Amino acid sequence: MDAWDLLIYLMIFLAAVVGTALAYARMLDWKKRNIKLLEQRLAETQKHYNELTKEVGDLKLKKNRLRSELQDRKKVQDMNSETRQKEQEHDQEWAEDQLPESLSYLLNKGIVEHKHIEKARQYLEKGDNAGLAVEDAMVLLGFVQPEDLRKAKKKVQKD
Amino acid sequence: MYFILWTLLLLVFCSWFLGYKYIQMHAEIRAREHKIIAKEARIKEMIKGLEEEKEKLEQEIQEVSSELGQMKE
Repeated sequence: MDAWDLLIYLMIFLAAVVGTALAYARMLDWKKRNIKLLEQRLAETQKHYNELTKEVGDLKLKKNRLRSELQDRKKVQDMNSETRQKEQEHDQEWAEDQLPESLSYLLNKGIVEHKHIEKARQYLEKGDNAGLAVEDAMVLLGFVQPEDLRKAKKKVQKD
Repeated sequence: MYFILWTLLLLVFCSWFLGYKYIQMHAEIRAREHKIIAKEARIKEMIKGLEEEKEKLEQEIQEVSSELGQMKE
């Protein structure tokens, strides 16, 4: 074996070792790339999940806020209706207790209604109408005819 | 003559090493992939549940909003 042959064999030896090393390096690179891709996919899914969790949390908060608002409004509405009912009852009591007899007679006859008496009362309270009677205010507002009022007064006086 | 044999032996060894490493890495990647797929499937299941919950919540919000709107009117 001469020197040339030896050199050639050495070169083949070296080429085999370097080739193996390069192939191994490429394989390592391929492995890293694959794992990175998989982890990226998982991270995307995880991100989507986190976003959804946040959205659901926000929606829950919004729902609770709206519910409490609705409950508050319902409470206020109930309170308002109760107050209104009480006021109406009170007004009616007032009207029945303090009504002149002639108006009670007209009320019983169905010529006037409670709401007319209430309006006349409000008119007296709001305006500068000191000394004006409720029945006069009703005549002024056109809820009752003077004729009817006169008849009612006569009837009451007779009784 | 011996040099040829040594070179052939080296080539055989290199091929064996590379093949062994390739199979090992492939198995490693597969194992990781399985693990990740299982995790992903679990997350997807949870996402499905969350989406259903979201839809339900949106519906409820719509109902409450319409009720509120009616009350405001």
